[in-house]
Amino acid sequence: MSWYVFALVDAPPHGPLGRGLKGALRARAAAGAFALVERRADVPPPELGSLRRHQAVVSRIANAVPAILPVRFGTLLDDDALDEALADREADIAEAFALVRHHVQFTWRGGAKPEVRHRSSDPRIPTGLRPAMIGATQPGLQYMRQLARRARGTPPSAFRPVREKLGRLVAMEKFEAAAMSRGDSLYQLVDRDGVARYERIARRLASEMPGLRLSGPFPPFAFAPDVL
Amino acid sequence: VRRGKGPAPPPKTAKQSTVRRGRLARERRPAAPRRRQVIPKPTLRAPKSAPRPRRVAHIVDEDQASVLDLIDNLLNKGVMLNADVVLALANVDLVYLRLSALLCAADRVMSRRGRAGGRSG
Repeated sequence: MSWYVFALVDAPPHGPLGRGLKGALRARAAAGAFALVERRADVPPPELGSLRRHQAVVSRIANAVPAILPVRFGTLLDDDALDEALADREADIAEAFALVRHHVQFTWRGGAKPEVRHRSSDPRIPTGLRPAMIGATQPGLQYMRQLARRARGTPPSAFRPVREKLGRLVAMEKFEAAAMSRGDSLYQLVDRDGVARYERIARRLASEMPGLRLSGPFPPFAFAPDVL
Repeated sequence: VRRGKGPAPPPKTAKQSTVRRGRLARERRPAAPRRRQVIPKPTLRAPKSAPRPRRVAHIVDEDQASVLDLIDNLLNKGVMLNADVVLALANVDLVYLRLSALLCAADRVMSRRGRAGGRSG
């Protein structure tokens, strides 16, 4: 029987931990942190119900602890593997906790949609090669373009009002260029004490800019480094 | 054979009229529709005097995250795949293979691994 890991927290929540996906949730000390785990024999299937339950557990924990580092969905480790994965990582984990402590994540989506172009109509491809090249989505090409946009760094101008008016309430920001069926995403890390003020401004902004969609607050999924 | 002086009784095969004597039904005045008793409805909503502002923006603090957020939050960094494979021959287990794989885009692990040990993921 292995441990299914939901998150690392800097301090175990007060009171009962509640349940995980099926069984009881436990706090297991490791590397100066506590791993919130559940005994499981296998990984839950990556279906919508499992994802919802997983996120619900992580969100519930996040509301009860100062700092949380969500762990990748499907992380199932036995005792030795868990200890080994966290061994000598105290400094990294402490740094990650300091980054997300007392913070939540808001997500803005919108801006450019991923570019979809038929290869057969791409003028840069020689005519003789076009009929043989089939495919409309081109995930590889999109991935390379996404990396190129990410390398350029700055979010598109559609997010400028958001960044200007909310910038002073944002501790950290992260931009993900459009990929596949997802548009551009701007993640903002906001102090919990400033959430009410952030939401007030963000509501007004979102109503003025119907092309952007706001969601949150979430645990800091986009800002938590991969510790496992 | 008729006996007596009275009028002849109707033949037995004739049916008696079912219309009641007096005014015909079509001559009667139609009955006035009964007035429905007005029962005041319970006021579950606010009066419609002031129109509510139209909600254009998405709700910020919705309880249930959308599917896109769900997938983005949980699967954006990839999925751990675990599998146990047993190679058997004639119902005899010969090889046990335990697989634990991380399926994700390369840049999700390249940066950290690159910083940590200079490896390429």
